[in-house]
Amino acid sequence: MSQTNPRSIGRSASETARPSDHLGRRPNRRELILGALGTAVAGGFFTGRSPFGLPRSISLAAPSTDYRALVCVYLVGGNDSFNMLVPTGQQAYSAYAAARSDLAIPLSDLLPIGTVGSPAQEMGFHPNLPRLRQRYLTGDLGLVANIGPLNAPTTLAEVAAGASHVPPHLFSHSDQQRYWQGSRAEGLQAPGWGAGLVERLAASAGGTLPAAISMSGSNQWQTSENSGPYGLQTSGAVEYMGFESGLGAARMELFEQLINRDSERVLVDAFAERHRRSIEFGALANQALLEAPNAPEPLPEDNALAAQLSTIARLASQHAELGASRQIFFCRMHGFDTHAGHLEAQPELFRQLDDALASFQDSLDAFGLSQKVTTFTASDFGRSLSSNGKGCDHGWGGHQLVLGGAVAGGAAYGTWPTLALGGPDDVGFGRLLPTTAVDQMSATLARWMGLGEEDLAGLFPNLPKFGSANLGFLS
Amino acid sequence: MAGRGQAAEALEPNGHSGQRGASGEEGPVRSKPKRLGFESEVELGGGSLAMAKRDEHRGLQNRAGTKFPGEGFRLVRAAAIGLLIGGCGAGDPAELESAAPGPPPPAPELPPEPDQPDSEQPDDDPDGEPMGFGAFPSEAPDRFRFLTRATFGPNQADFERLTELGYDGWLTEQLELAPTLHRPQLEAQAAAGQSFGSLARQDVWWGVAVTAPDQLRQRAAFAWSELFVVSDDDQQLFLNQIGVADYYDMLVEGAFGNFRALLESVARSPVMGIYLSMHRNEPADPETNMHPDENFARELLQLFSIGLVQLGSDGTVLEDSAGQPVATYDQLDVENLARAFTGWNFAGTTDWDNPVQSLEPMESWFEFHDQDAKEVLDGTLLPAAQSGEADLTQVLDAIVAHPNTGPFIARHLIQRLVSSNPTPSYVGRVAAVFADNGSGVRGDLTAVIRAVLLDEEVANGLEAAPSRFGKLREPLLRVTALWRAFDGVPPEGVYTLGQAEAFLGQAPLSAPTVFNFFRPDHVPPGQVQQAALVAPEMQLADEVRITLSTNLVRRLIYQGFEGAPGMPPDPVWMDFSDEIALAEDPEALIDHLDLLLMGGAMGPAMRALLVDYIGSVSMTFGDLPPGMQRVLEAVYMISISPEGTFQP
Repeated sequence: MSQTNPRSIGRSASETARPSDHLGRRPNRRELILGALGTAVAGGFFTGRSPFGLPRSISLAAPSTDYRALVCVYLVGGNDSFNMLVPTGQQAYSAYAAARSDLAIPLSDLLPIGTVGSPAQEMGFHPNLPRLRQRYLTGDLGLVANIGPLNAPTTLAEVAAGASHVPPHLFSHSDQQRYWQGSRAEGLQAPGWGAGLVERLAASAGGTLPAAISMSGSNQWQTSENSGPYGLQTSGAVEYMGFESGLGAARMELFEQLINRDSERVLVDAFAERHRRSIEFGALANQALLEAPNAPEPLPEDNALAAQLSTIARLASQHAELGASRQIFFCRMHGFDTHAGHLEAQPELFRQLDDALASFQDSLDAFGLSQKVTTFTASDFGRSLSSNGKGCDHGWGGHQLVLGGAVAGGAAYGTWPTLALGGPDDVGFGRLLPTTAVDQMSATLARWMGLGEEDLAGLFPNLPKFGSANLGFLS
Repeated sequence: MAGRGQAAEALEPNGHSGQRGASGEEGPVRSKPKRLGFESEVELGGGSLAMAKRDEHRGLQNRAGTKFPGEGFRLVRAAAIGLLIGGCGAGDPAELESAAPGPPPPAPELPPEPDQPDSEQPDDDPDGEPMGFGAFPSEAPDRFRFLTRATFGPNQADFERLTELGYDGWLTEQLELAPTLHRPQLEAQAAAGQSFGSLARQDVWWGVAVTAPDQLRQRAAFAWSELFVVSDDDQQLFLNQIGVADYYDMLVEGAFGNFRALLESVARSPVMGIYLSMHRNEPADPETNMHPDENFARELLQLFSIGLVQLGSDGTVLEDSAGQPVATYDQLDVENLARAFTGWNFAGTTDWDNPVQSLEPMESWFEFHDQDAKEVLDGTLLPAAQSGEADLTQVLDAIVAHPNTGPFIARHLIQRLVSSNPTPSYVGRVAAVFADNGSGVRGDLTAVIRAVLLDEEVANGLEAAPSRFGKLREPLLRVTALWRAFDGVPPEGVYTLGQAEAFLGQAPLSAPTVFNFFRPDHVPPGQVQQAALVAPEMQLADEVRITLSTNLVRRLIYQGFEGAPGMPPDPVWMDFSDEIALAEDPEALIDHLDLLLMGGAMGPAMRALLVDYIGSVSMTFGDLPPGMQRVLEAVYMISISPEGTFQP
């Protein structure tokens, strides 16, 4: 390009780098409001109810001795993870700083963790991730390097040539979300791999509640042709108002008749079915939460993710009472699509993520669940190394975190990318070609949940194409 | 930074109470069931059931004619409009009080069953169709369904006007009405020292949606707001609600214009400029490794105009020889578009780095525009040294001319207004009108909207394809339809839900991301998936939201009339006097509500259940007017029922 950007005149790259110590993003308003609504109360409509008035005891279910749960923390919009974990060796840091320009985290701000991974590199955490760094040092947190959607091992040349196995619609939010959450050979309208996992477990895996529970509504990970997540909010199930007694009881009787008939309209019936699930499981969920212990320390304030995770920990603590042997939980954190306002937003996003994940693991420890619950992050994509002057754009590969007592933490899995524009991993503007496939990470998690090789092959048909079907971060 | 100027005042909360539990009471417990006199009618109801089955299809309009007697509450409605449109606090509460309905009229012993049509209704022509309606079916249920698609919910006044004018005449009148704007109302509040934050903007929206005469335009603008998404979830926009209201007005004003003009106003909008960060987008700078921001470029293609994959003229996905969809563009297109979209800043700005705030269309700065040549979208060449305006013109021309745009836009409007699963032929017919309005004009949105509403597939949609025609109502539209159906009036002068989105998962221009509240291809598990259908609105109906919205509807109804027990914050009083007049006759009441709230699409089984239930509710409840409890029960159960949540 022949034209010179007028603002670069008389200014060097290093001068454009700014410290990222801003306080920034206000907590997500929607999440906070939702979190404040309603509480799980005794004596409400749900109490003692189960499907349509038939009493069902939740204590009848046999307690499980072999309980395991997965928690997906979905970072919506594409987490700029190349600022979450940063090389601190002199040469690698210089390359990073040059590529990231004004987005680079100053070297002295990074929280070092020593030499790790392949190729061995000195690395550090973003300054607002001190509690996760601590979990890394104590061996509870593992790092998965430069992972992203791939249908088969892929080279830069194949990407440039538009080879047919390059995943479709790269850099599109919706499609890459589907890719992360789906199970596929090809195509994007795939069932979620979480739902596929649940369907391959014993039908009773979730006990008296569905095994797939979402703290953030609809999602593809927990949805297949026949099953979807059961939704809760942080305070538990929402009670139906006005159905309790007197006229309310008659009203309830009519409502149950209205939601228990098949019309010939498919959309009507789908809506009715959602009401039936809300009624069927609300009492059980709220009863479990009533009996659950509280978190050992107060929740971080104004942190919607922490609130979602806290409810997950409390519900998981009641797995024996619910008769659950396997559960999968989904939650979301918004705000990662930092095209603009990046320097203000990212520190606050990471501060919240750090607090939320760490306090969650503290709760799991207190509840004796640290070995039984494994948490992982997923996100649409990593972001471009290069800056647009206000933030960065949609990328491809990125780093993810796995957290839990069963995790072989204090280590990095996969291969560190070269953080350089025009480098061997760069497909353009610092969008990095992943060196580990989403399917490898997902299969590692699903195997820990108990799937055998045959089930894994059915769930992840592309798996045999990759070097390893087990990344080894779970024992 | 843009939008920061008015920070503190604009922040919520602004006097709305944050917690709005549905804590109201709904009158005493029912007395022991089934009064004798009424039971006998239920017994007779065997015959009524058979009639209902027949009625379900087309036989209801005579009844309907008699069941919308009310001129009386027109006054109330007019007062409400005066309050709203005339500015806050301008109305006289006493006037409102006096115009409010008095004691309900005595209930008739028997429902009137006139055997002659209402004199205001057009006579049937020999073919059995009223005059002025053309070939499109025009029985009462048809007219109510039409209004459900074309407005924020039918009411008696609309129904009468439509009956008088016919579809064509009604559309023509609507298309010519002056736009009702949001920003001036919000600015008036700001000038009066009241809040002009997010909730205040939403309240203006509620008032306009419920009362504005230009219903079709407002409904279309809402549909556009779910395509050209901006959201005050963005922090800068959260602090600039006047700007967000102005953006909405741009959609209101452009709703019936040409798509090309609408697209350009979206592209140059400073609010969109902030939301998708095209504002102050700069050319690449090799020295600092910076590249242009791709945000707007990508979503303009993916979400606003052509979509990801090539479409046939009827919207079906085209496949290559291997049976795979074909991408409409690639990453290089996005990068080159991002280059084309460099150099835009707020109007009137003289220092690039210190822009002045303006809501005028953004202006292009040549020195911050990438002046090299660019190729986008299969061969559109933007020559070197061309201005930002010229690049934008060429790009938008190419997008509007793209074969995907017509079917893409057609499908969006059909899904928002009419049906989630249109056939390819329906999409194709609307897309053909997009391509050519009959006078050689491409992108004529007036013609497109007419085509969407009056397509042959809509004519007998539910009857012809009961499993696939129609859609679930969006949460916001459930509330507007309720308030409009019963001429809801806020005694405090402001239509408000408070933190509506927390209950509904939806508030105007407040989506969580640019992907709107739900995706057009959302497929919930189970029967929808097995039937190979989509149900976008189900994305907002997880077990949490579906219950919260049920509870909200309960509060709106049981606290939604003058004299309702409890102390609801910010009530909207609905006028149930027409319904109370029918309360003695549950069948008549249910049939009336079936038309008003469900477009006559209530099935016989649901009707039988409701008739039976309403008959079991006592006519007298505490201090409530006789019959009120029956009306509340009927309106509530219909409103929360799965069938009542469906738009036929």
